[in-house]
Amino acid sequence: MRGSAKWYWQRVTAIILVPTSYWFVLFFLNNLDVSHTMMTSSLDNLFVKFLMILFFFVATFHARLGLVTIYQDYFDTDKVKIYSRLTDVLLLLVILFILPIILI
Amino acid sequence: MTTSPLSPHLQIHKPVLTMVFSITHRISGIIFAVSLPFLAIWIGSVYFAPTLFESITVFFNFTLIKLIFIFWFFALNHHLLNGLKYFLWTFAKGMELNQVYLISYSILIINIIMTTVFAWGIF
Repeated sequence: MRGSAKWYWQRVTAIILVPTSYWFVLFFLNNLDVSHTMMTSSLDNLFVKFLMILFFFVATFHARLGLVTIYQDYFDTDKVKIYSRLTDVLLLLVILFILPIILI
Repeated sequence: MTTSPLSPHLQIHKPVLTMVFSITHRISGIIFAVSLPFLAIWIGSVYFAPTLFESITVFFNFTLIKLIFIFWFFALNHHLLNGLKYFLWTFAKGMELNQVYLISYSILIINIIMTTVFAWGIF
């Protein structure tokens, strides 16, 4: 991805994350001490599922852009490649953990 | 080996306000990125491992973990509010030195208030 495209998407994802992260924080506070049954019913809502998946997808993308920028500032090209791949694996796991909530 | 110039070591910078907010922006971003897999496991476990979910709930409700969550929220909030400052800078707004100082101190004060509310909510 070109530098200008990264710069642009960093900002687009940031704007989406302003409302969605505060929504996630509220969801987190409301469901911090609930039972499994209550949590299942909290997630059994199309709007909640949509926001949850949107938040995790956009946060993952935003995190990847930011982390790679940090690697590029402090490490040489070879290390940037290795760390970027490791980050990809971790963030892919995030997506894999989140997607099953569609099935709830 | 290196194709682009690397950032100088952090220690050589004098810790002025703009630099402190810039480096803490990066640190808080890393903190939130690291927390993402854990949050994803928490949400995902509701579907694929109900017993794991129950264990995570117990874990999340330990006082020490709650204190870490308060710090986590402080970092997230700092990143979000400071990010809005950079968004203003994108449009070349708020770049006068006195505005930078005013906005940066406002970020800190708003964050302390919001984190207090969060702490009140979590306990």
